[in-house]
Amino acid sequence: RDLRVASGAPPPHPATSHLYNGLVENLEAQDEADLTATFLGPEVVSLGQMKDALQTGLVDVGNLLPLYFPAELPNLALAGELSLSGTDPHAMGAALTEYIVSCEACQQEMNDFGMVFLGSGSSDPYVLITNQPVESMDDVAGLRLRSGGAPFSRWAENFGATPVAIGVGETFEAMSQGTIDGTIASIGDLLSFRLVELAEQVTAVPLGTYFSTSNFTTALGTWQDMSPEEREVLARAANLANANFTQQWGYDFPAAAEEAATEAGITMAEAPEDFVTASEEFGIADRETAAQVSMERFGMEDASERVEEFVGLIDKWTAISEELDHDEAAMAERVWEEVWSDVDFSTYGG
Amino acid sequence: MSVETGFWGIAALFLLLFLRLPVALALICVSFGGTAWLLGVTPALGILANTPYDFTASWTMSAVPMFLLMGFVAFHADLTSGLFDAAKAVLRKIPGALAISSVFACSGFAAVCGSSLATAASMGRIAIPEMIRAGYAPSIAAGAIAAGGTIGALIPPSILMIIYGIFAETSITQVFLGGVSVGLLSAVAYSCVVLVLTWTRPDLVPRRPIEDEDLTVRQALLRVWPVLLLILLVFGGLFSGLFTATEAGAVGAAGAIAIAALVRRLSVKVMRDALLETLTTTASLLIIGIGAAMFTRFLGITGLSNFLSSFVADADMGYLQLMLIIVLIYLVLGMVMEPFGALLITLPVFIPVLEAQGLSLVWFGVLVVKLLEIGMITPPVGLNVFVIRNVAEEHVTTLQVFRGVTPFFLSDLAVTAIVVAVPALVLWLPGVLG
Amino acid sequence: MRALDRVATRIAQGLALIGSLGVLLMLVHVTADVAARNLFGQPIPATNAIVSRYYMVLIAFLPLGWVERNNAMVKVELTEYLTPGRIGQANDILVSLLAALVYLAIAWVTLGTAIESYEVGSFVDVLGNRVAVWPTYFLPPIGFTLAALVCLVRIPAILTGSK
Ligand code: NA
Ligand code: NA
Repeated sequence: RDLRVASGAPPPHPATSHLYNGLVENLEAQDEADLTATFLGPEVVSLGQMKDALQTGLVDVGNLLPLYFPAELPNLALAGELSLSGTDPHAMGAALTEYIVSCEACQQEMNDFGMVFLGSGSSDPYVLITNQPVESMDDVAGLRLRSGGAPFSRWAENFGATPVAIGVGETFEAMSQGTIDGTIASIGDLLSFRLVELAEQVTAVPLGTYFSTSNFTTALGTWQDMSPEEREVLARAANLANANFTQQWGYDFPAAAEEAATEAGITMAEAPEDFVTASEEFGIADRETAAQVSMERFGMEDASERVEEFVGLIDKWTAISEELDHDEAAMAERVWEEVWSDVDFSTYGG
Repeated sequence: MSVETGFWGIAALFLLLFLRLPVALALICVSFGGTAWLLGVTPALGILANTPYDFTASWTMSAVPMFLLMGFVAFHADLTSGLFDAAKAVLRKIPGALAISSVFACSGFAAVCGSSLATAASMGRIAIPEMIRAGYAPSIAAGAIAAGGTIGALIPPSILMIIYGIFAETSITQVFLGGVSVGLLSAVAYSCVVLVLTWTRPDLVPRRPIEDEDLTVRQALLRVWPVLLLILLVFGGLFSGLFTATEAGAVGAAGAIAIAALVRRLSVKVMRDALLETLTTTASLLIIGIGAAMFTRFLGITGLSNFLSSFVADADMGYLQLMLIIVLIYLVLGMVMEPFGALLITLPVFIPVLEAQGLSLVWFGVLVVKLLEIGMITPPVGLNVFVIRNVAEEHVTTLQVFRGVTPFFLSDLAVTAIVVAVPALVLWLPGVLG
Repeated sequence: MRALDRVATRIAQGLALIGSLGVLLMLVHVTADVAARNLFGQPIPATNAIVSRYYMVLIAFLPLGWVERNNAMVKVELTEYLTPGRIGQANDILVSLLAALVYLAIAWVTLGTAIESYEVGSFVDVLGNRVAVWPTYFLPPIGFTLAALVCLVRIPAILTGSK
């Protein structure tokens, strides 16, 4: 069986270079099942088209961005609202994977959407990338900052900045012309969106990570056609690629970006202590807002309990990630043991 | 390999165009049929169902109607004829003065506008009637602006170059700087074409310089200030960071309306005509865009990328041989694909090869944008030609514009050859300023 | 048929009028956003989403019937002089039928998408502002249906040679 797979991302992005190329390679490397994958580029299926591509069978496995579908995927949207709680990339990917696989309502909403969930990944902790120095908390006030999601906007507003909603591809232009003063993003954006040419300073403040992902969303029809053995082979290949993706997106690529930034003469700054504390406190307080948003907007009645459960998983996996020294292979193995080995592949996904 | 299906698809496209089916529908039919043939009806229906909305509901694309509106308001309120009076007055001794000043007006407009379509549309509405009135053959007048519009994507800002920089992980600023010289070189080359035509084909381009005795340079410059004010507004706002290139169209259109009111040339009729023309042009272009996007998706499904990589995989290939193949591939793809699709399909194939050969990605970015822009004026799918046909409907047919574009296309090939032969020409400015 | 033709023309004009309004609104909205941002440091929330999801969709699809009506759909007239008389007439009818068929097919499948969006109440979340987007999914089926209608009512005119 040959699966049509799509990342929806350009070639240099880790979602293509590591996540999906990784899946293709992992499937080729195994010999338990006759399962291979063919990659379709973003010119065939973009991120915005992924849902339809999965639902109509254009692709079998695709990188679905849950934030596009808050009405249909309230649990993944809830995870998105909790962005500010993210710290350790490997831990966040694992926590969301365990959360979605083990919660019945989550499985139901994926099933209603015609899709099967096969794990998540996470970015590095977001930073402030600005075209001017930010030395104190007060310097943030009045800045116009691009924000890629509601939690980051709440953060910006809390510190007196104005969040601006523009497409990530427009950041370069907006920043070069001073329409925005900076962006709340992964330091990797310095390279992926060439901000390295414009930025003056990168400031590390606890801003959370981007982890509301469903990396290998599988079309329900495809999944139902597969034997339990094939399903397990796919899940294993996906699990390895997920960890590898987080390693790249959350650690290696940011390290390369940091190096490029230093080389380009960009100031790499740590936020002062009072700013760090205030930001951390806001992140924790924001969990309540996230629950409220999920209740009001996504109609999730037990949102508070859900948040609590998810925060518990974050703590659990942060400890494990510490224990395993954030090692990619060890994390993949542990996620398999803790989450996937309990899954019955003859019934999982419906 | 299913890439054969792609070739059949292109053949079917030609057939449907030959039957005079609208370009957009021909593209949609072929993409649907081809996808259904390869993957089955359900995925093909899925593409048919979501591409129209998905392609259209785009913030970046919103620059197109706004820049068109700016051009149409400026035209209907007669703000722009001053520009040509000035050009006539200044350049009256040079043969082909109107066409040459149109080309350079395109270059000036290119400095504020990131898209070649919007440049062609705005300048076309203004310049083509003027040229025809001055005795130019309609096909050449239209061809000059269709080609001149492509400068819009070569001189920064340029949406295509931004996308290239992101995909190739290359400095956008450097590619921008490299684009300046190739943009200007193209303008000079187009002007040479005009000059040569005044000698060889005086029936197409009037050789006799314009004689507008009653207008002195001083008078002409006095009439040109409304347009200069508009350019100043858009240019100044862009570069001082008041708004982005996408927003510049809307601000420019608002500015054109305000200036028209200021000089008492704004009327209900002006607004009505400008709005309706904007609407018709935008709608007929967007549906072609939808068809082109579907066609790109279809060609992507056929495995075109893998097929292309088989051409450039030979490691021992020399520089000229490699370049010849790459240029040919872009010329062929450019015939039937729109630039973004062609860029997305080809870059993953070419970038590793270029890196292996140690070639500059900045230089290649400029070359690729030039080649993609050539695709905007080649048949059968030439978006700049279509937009010109739309704004100058009463003067030319699509076929005539394609015919008029031919000499400019030839000069584009010469410019491409220069860019390939002398990469230093492109890399000089980035080297000095970057 | 004559009456149907009049009705189609009227609807096409009406929708084009709404489309023109969309162009104007887009101009005002974006300019106001730029002004508000620069003068008061406060952009109008969700401008990008409203421009792309509302005005753009309005401008693109509502005028399709009007564009067909005015014969402004771009064609490559390679065969203009090659097919006079009856063959040309037959070809024109064939093309009109095929075009109508394609428009109807797109109208039908995009209507399916629209109903789906309506049922889940699709919205986009722009920095905490909830913008409903399902209504504009109904614009493509409306525009394509009208375009099909215009193509169909044109056939009698081709037959009688009045075109
Ligand atoms: Na430009
Ligand atoms: Na072309």
